[in-house]
Amino acid sequence: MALISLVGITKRFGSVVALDNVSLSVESGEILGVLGENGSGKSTLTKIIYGVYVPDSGYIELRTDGLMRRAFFSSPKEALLSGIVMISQRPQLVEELSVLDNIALFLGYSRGRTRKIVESTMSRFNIKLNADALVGSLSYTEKQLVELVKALSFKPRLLILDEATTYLPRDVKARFYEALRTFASIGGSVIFITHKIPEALEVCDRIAVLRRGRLVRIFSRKDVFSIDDLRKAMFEEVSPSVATERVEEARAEGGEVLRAEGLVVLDDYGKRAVSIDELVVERGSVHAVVGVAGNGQKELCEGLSGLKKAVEGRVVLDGEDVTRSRASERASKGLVYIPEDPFRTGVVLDLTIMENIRLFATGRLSSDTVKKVISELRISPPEPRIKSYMLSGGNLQKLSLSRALLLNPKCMIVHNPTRMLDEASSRQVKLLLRDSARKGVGVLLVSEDIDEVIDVADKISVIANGRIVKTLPAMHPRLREEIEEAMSTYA
Amino acid sequence: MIVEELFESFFLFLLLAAVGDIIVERSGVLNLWIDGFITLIFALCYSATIAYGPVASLALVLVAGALYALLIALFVNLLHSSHVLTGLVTNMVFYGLSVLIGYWGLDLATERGVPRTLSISTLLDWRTVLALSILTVSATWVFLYRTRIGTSVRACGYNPRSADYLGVNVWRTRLLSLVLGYIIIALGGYVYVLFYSKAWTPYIGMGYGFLAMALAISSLWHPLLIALPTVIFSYLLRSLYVYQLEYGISQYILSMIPYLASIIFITAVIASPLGKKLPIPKALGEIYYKEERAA
Amino acid sequence: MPKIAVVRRDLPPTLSAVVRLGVALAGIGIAILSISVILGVDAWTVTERVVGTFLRPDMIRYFIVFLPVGLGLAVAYHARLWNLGAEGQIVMGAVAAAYVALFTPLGEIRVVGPLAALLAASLAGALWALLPGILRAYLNVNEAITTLMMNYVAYSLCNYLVYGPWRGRRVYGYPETDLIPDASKLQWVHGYSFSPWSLVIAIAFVPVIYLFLYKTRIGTALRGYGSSPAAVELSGLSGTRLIILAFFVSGALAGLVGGNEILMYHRKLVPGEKIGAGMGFVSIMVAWLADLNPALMPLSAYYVSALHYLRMVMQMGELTEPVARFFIGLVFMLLLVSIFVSKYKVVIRK
Repeated sequence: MALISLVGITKRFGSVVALDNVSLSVESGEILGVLGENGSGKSTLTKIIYGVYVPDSGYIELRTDGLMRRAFFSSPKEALLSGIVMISQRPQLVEELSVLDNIALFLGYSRGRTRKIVESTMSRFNIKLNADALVGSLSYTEKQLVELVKALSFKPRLLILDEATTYLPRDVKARFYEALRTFASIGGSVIFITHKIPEALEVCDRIAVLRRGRLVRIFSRKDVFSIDDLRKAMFEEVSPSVATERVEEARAEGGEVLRAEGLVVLDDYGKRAVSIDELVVERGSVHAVVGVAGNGQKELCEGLSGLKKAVEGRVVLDGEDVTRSRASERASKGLVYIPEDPFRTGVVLDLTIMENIRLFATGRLSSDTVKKVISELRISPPEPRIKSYMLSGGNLQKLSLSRALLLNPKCMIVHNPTRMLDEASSRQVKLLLRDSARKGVGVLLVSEDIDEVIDVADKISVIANGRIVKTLPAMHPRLREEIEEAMSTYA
Repeated sequence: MIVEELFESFFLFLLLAAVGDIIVERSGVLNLWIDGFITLIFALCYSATIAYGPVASLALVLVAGALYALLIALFVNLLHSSHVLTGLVTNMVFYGLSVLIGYWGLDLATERGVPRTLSISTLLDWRTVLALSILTVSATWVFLYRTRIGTSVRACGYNPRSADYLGVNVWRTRLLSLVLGYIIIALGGYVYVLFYSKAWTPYIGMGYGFLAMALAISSLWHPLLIALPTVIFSYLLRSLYVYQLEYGISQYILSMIPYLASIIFITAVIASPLGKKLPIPKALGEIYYKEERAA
Repeated sequence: MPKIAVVRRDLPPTLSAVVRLGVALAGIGIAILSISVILGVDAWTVTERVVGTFLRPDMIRYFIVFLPVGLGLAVAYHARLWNLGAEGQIVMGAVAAAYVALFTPLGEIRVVGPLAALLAASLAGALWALLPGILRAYLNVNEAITTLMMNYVAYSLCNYLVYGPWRGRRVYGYPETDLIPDASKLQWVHGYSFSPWSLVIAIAFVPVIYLFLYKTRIGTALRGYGSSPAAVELSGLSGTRLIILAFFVSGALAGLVGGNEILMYHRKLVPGEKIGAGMGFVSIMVAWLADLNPALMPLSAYYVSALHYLRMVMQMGELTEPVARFFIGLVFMLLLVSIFVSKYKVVIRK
C-alpha cells in the first residue's frame, strides 16, 4: 500500500525547468531509489517533499488515517509533522551545540528523554556515537552518522536520503545500508537518491530514473535488466571516459610550480585538519589528492590558496614564498583556486554572468571575450545579462571555472570540480583540466571521488586524517584497489 | 560605600537593557531599533506616571514592549526586511513619537498643577538592585543555556538554516526572543524614569540603546559576562559630571567618552582570544529566507 | 488554517520601479491627509502647498545634501558595509571647512579658499569614516555600531569647539562661531538658499559613481563583496582594501556635503546636532529608496528633499521637528513594505 504519491510535479526556477510533470509513489516497507545524474532534478524533487520548495503545479498525497490525502508542506517542520525526515549530503546540524542538543531540538523533547531515546536507537540499529560531543568537533563521517541516528530516533514513516552516503567510506556505507534494511523491515519507507549506479543497485527495491527533470523509467528488482539499461535511461548516450584520451597524450615537461612544506592548517574549530610534510605540483601535469570527505581536503585547499592562514610550514609558488600573502595576492600572482561550493565562494550570485566574468578578468574586457567564455564552457542559458542565481548548480560551477580561462594561472587548485555536473559537463571540465595541463599549468585536483580522479590525474595522492598517506602514478597497476585501501585509514 | 555607589538604579537600567538586548540578538536579530524604543519608553513612562500613576505606568510600559516586539517581528520575519534599515526607520518614527508623548505628559503636569519632576517615595537600595541584577542575569542564563527554548534561540543565532532543518520555527523563536527581550528592556526604562531621572526632556534616551548594544557585544552576548562591563560603564557614565565640576573638563569632551570607550571596549574584546573562542551568534543581522536556489 | 509561505519573485526592474513610485505617491497622500487633520486646514489647500513644494526650487537646498551623501553611501551598501555614520562625517566635514575658512589665511582668498575648505572637508569626512572602516577591515568589528558611535563623538567634538575655543558671538542664546569671511561664502541663487555650484557638483557625481560601480572591475568587486567576499578575494582583489576604499569614498562625500553646509548655508559653525540635523540618516534611506542605483538617486533625492521641505509647511513650533521625523519615518516604513512587495510574494494555500 502506497505511503506517499507525487502527482504531476513541475518546478521552474526562472526560465529553467527543474522538474517536468513527475509522478511516482513509494510503498510502505520499500526502499525506492531515485537515480539520476547531477542536474536531473532529483534534489529538487526531494526538497519539494521536504517542504523547502513549493511546486509550481502538481500535488503530493500522503496516506493519513488509512486514506490518501492531499498534503502541502510549506516548511521542513510540516514535513516532519507528517513523519518525513531527510538526510542530505551535507549535515544540517548546529555546530556550536552538542549531538544531544541537536537531536533534542529535533525531537522537541528534554535532554533526559532524548538521551534515552538516542541510546535505544543506537543499540537497535547498531551505531555508536558520543552524544555529548560538540558537533563541530566531529568528522564528516561521524556527522553523517549523527544525522542517521537523529532521523531514526524520530521514528519517521518516510526517510529520504539525498546523496547521504555517496561520499562515505565503504564500511560506513555498509552500516547505513544495514540500518536502512532494518528500518524497511519494520515498515518504514525510504527514498534513496544517488547518481552512482552501484549504490542504487545495492540497496534499492525499485529504481526510478530521472533525466533532465523527467521520469524516464522505473526498474524493479523483480525485473531483468542490465547496468547498461540503467545507463541508457540516465544519459541519452554514454560518453567515453576522458582517461582514454589522456593515455594518448605526451607528457609535458615538469618543473615545480607549487610546493607545500611542513604545512599545518587548522579547521574552524582549532583542530589540526592538515599536516603535510611535502606536496609538489609540477608544471604541465595534473596531481590529484583524493580521500574520504572530511579528511582535510577543504582545509588543504584553503591553506594553499590563502583563504586560511597556515599555522606552520611554507607555501611556495613558482619559486616565490607566498606563505604570508593573502588569497587575493596569491591569485594575482597566478595561483587560482576554484572552490567546490560556487554558491558562496566561487561566484557572486547577485551579479550577472557578465559581471562575474568582469570580476575574474584583469584589464580590459570585451564583450567578445565574454561570449567566448560562455560558449567554451557551454554555460546555459548563454545570456550574459542574467543574474547568476538563476543558473543551476552545475552552470554556476562552470562559471566559477571560467576563472581558469581568464586569470592565466600558473597553478590551479580545483576542489571537487565535477561534483555538481552532469555527465557531459563533467567530461568537458575534465578535458579543460587536461587542456590546461597541456598548456603548462600545474593542476592540483583535490577530490573525494575516486572516479573523477582516476579519469584525469597523472599522479594521485591519498589524504587521510590530513596527511598524505600514499602517492601513486596514474599508470600504477591495481590503482583503484590501492587507493581505496589507503583511503580506508580515514578519519 | 562602594557597593552603594555601584549598584544603583542607573546600573540596573543599563543591565536590564543590555540583558534584553542579549536575548533578542541571540536569536540572530540585529537589535538597532532598541534606541528608538528606549527613547519612546522614557517618554511613555514619564507621561503615563503623570497621568495614571506608577502602577498603571508599569503595566503600560510592559505592554508597549510586547507591542513593539510584534511590530519589529512583522518587519523582520514576514517582510524579510533588512534589520539595519528597519532599525533606522523605526528609530526615526519613535524618536519623533517620543517627543509628542513627552510633551503630552509635561502639558498634563502643568494642567493639573502637579510638579514636573516625579516624586516617588520608594527607593531602590543597593541590596534590591543587587538582588534583581543577580536574578535577571541568572534567569537569562538558565533560559538560554538550560531550556529547550533557549537552545532553539541560540540555534537561530548560530545557523538559522540548520535550525530550520532541525524543526525549529525560526519566526516563532525570533518573535519570542523579541517579546521577552523587550519586556525586560521596558522594565529597565521604567527603573530609569521612576528611580533615576524622575524627569523628562526631549529626546532623552537617545544613544542609550546603542550603548546597551555595545555592552552586549563586549560581553560576547553571554549573560554571565555582562555584569562586569555594565558596572564599569554605568559608574563611568555617572561620574562624568564629577570630572567636569572637579577638573573643569568641558562637558562636551566628557560626553564623547562613553562612545569612544564603547568602541575601544568592543574592539578589545573581539580581538582578544576570548573573542575567538566563545561561540557568538554568527547569523546576527542575516535576513532569514527559507527558500534558496541551492543544489 | 491557511498556510502561509513566502516565496521569492523576480520583478522586472520597470515593475519594481513602478511599485516604489506607487509607494512614493502613497507617502505624499498620507502626508497631505495627516497635515490637514492635525492643523485643521482643508485638504485642498494642503495639497496645493504640498504640490507646490515639489515644484519650487527651494527644496534644492536639501537635494544637494541628500544626493551626494546617498551616492557615497550606496557605494558602501553595495558591499554590505553598514556605514551609518554619515551624520558624523557630515559634521566633521563642516568642522574642517569652518577651520579653513575661519582660522587660516586661505579663508580670505576667493575661489581657492572655498576649494581648499571643501577639500579639507572631504578629507575630514573620509578620515572619520576610516576609523570604523579599519576596525572592520582588519578586526572584523561590527561597523554599524562603531559608525553610530562616531556620530555622537562628532556631535560632541563640534559642540566642544563651538561652545569653547571657537566661540564667537551669541545669537538668540545659541552659541556659534563668527561668520566665515565673504571670500569663502558660496553665493546663493537669487531668492533661494543654495548655490548653483553645489548643485552642479552634486549632479556631476551621479555619472561618476554610476560608472565606477557598474563599469569598473573594482566597482563590480564592491558590489559582489557583500554577498560573496571569498569569490572576490579569489579573483585577486583584496577584501581589506575594498572595505577601506568604500569607507573612504562614502566618508569623503558626506564630508564634502558638510563643508558645503558651512560655506553655503550656515556660513558659520553651529552645534553638531544642527549641522547634521538627521540628514545623514535620511540619506541612508535616500540611497535605499533608489535601490542603491546611482541613476535613480536624483529621483529619490528629489522626492525626499521635497518631503523634508514640507516641514516648513507644518509650522508647529517646537513640535515641527519631531512630527517631521515621525512622518518621514512612516513614509520610509512604507518603503520597506514596498521592498518586500517587489521582492517576494505570499503564497497561501488551504
